[in-house]
Amino acid sequence: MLGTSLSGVLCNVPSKQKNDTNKEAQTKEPGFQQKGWESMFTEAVKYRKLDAHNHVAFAGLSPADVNESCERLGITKAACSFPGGKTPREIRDNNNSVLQAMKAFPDRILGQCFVNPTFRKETLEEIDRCVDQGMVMLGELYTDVKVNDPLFYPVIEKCIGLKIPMMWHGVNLLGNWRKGYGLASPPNSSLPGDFVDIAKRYPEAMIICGHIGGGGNWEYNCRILRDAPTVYLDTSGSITDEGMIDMAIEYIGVDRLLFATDINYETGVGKIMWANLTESDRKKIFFDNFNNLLKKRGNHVN
Amino acid sequence: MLIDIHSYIGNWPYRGLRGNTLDAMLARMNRFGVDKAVVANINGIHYVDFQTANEELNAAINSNEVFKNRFIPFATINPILPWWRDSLEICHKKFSMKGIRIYPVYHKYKITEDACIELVKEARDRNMPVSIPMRMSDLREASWLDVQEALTYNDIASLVSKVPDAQYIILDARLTDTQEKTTDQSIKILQNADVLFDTSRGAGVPCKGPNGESLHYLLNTFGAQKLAFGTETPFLDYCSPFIRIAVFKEADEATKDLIWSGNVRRMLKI
Repeated sequence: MLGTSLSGVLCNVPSKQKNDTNKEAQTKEPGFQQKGWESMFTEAVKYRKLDAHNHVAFAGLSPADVNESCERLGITKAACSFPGGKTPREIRDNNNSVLQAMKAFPDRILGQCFVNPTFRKETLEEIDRCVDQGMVMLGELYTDVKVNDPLFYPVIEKCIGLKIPMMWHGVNLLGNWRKGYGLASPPNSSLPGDFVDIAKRYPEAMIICGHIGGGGNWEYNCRILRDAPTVYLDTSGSITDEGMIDMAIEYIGVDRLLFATDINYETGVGKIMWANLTESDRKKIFFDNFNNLLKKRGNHVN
Repeated sequence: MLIDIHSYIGNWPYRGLRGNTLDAMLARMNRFGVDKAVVANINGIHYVDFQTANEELNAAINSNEVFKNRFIPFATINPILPWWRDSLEICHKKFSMKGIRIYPVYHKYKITEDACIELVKEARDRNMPVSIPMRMSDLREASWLDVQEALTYNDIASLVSKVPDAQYIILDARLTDTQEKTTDQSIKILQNADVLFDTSRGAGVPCKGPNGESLHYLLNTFGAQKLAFGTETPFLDYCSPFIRIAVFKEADEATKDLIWSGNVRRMLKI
C-alpha cells in the first residue's frame, strides 16, 4: 500500500483488501477498502524510526510514558531533552533528569544535552559531562540566545570537534517576522534566516532547525532554509498541515529532513506516512538521515 | 461503520489546499474505509453572503448520486446577517442539510450574543446539531489577515448553558496550554449536555504536547458517549487522525466503535 504515497497524488498501489466483518458496513462501492486505514497503521508501525526531537522529564513527561508512547508508534529510539533552567545548577539538574531517563530506558531514550551559552565556562563543561555519560547531541537549545549569536561559536566549535549534532528551537511566528501582528516568541528566538547565517559560518557543523510544524509558518521555513544547504530540518511539531512535508521535500530535500515528534507522536508519524514519498525516501526520513548524523561519533543504531 | 464528523470543501485564503473537493475526499475516504463524512463549505467563512456557500455545497452534493449517500452536509450560518432564518429553512428543508456549523470568531460575534442563541435554538427545534470549530488554523502559523484568537471549552460551555437542550459538536477540540483553563462549572455543563468532541486533535498515547488535546482526558472527563472521530480534512494530513484512535489503547473496542461512528450515528439518527 505504501510503496509510493497515501496522499492521493502519486499513490496508485491498492491497499490489501480486508474482509468485511462489520455487519454495519454499508459502503460497497468499487474501490472502497473496508478498514483500509488499518493497513496504513500496520505499515506505519513497521518502519524503524529515530526521533530527532523529543522530550522527557520536561513538562511532567515521565520516562515510562515516553517509552510507552514510542512503543505504540514503533519509534525505535527517541532523542530527548529537558530544555530550560535559569542557572547552571538548574540546567545541570534538568540534564540529570534526562540522564536518569536514559538509564531507565537505555534501549529507547537517547540523551540531548541542553545548555545556555550565556554561561560559557559551565556550558562547555556540561557538554563534556553529558557526552561522557552517553548523550548523543545538544538540544533543544532554546530562546535564550540566537543560533547565530557569537556566544554560540565556542559551543558549535566544540560540537564540531565532538562530531555531534545540535538542535535548536526554530521559530517564525507571525509576530517574529511581522512586528505588531499575532503571537511572537521571545526576541532571542532563532528564525530561519538565523540558521542560514550560522550555516554559512560553520558549514561543517551538524545543525538541526527544530520542528517545521512547531514554531510558526512552515512555508516561510521552507523558502528560507532552502538557502542553507547544510542545515537539517526536523519534521516535528503539532502542526500537521496537509502539504507541509511535501513542500519541505521540494525545497529542503529528502536528505535533510529528520523524523521527529516533539511530543506529538501520532502526527509525527502520520505526516510522514501521508507525504508523497517513495519507500526508500520514507526510510531515509524516518531513520537513515538521523542515524547517519549519529554515526559520525559512533552513536548510531545498527 | 466509520464516519468522519469533520471535513470541508472549499478554499482557504491563506494557503492552498488539496483534496478540497467531494471527488478528492471520496477517493481518500474509499482508500481508508470511511463510509460517510460530515462536510461543510469553508467558503462560507469568508463570503459575506454565507448562503452562497451552502448553495455551492448543495450543488456539489447533487452532482453525483454517490455523494448523496456518502456525505452529510452541514450548513454554514452567520446569525449576524438578517437572512439567516430563511437560509436555515432552505438548508434544512430544501437542501436536506443535517446540521449547522458556526464560526463566532470569524464572523465577529460573541458566542453568547442574542443572535447566536436564537440561531442555536432554531437549530435545536429542527433537530439540527450545532458544530463549532474551536479554531480553523494554528495561531502560530496564521497570516496577518487571519483571526488571532481561538475558542475555549469555557466559551462553548457558556453557549451550552444558554441552550442546554441543543446538540453540539465541538470540532478541532483542544485546549492548548496557553489558553484559559476549563472551569469546573464548564466541565459540568458539558458533561450534562448532548455534546460530541472531535478527536482530530487528541493524543491517544500517554504523552500530550502543549498544543494538542488528550483523548484520555476527554474520555475520563466526559465519557465514551461524547467522543467522535474526525479528520479535519483537507487541512490536516489524512493519516494522523486514524493513528490517534489506533494507539488509544485505553479505549476498549466498544468505546472505539462509539468513536468511529456510534455516537454520531445516534446524534444524527443514521
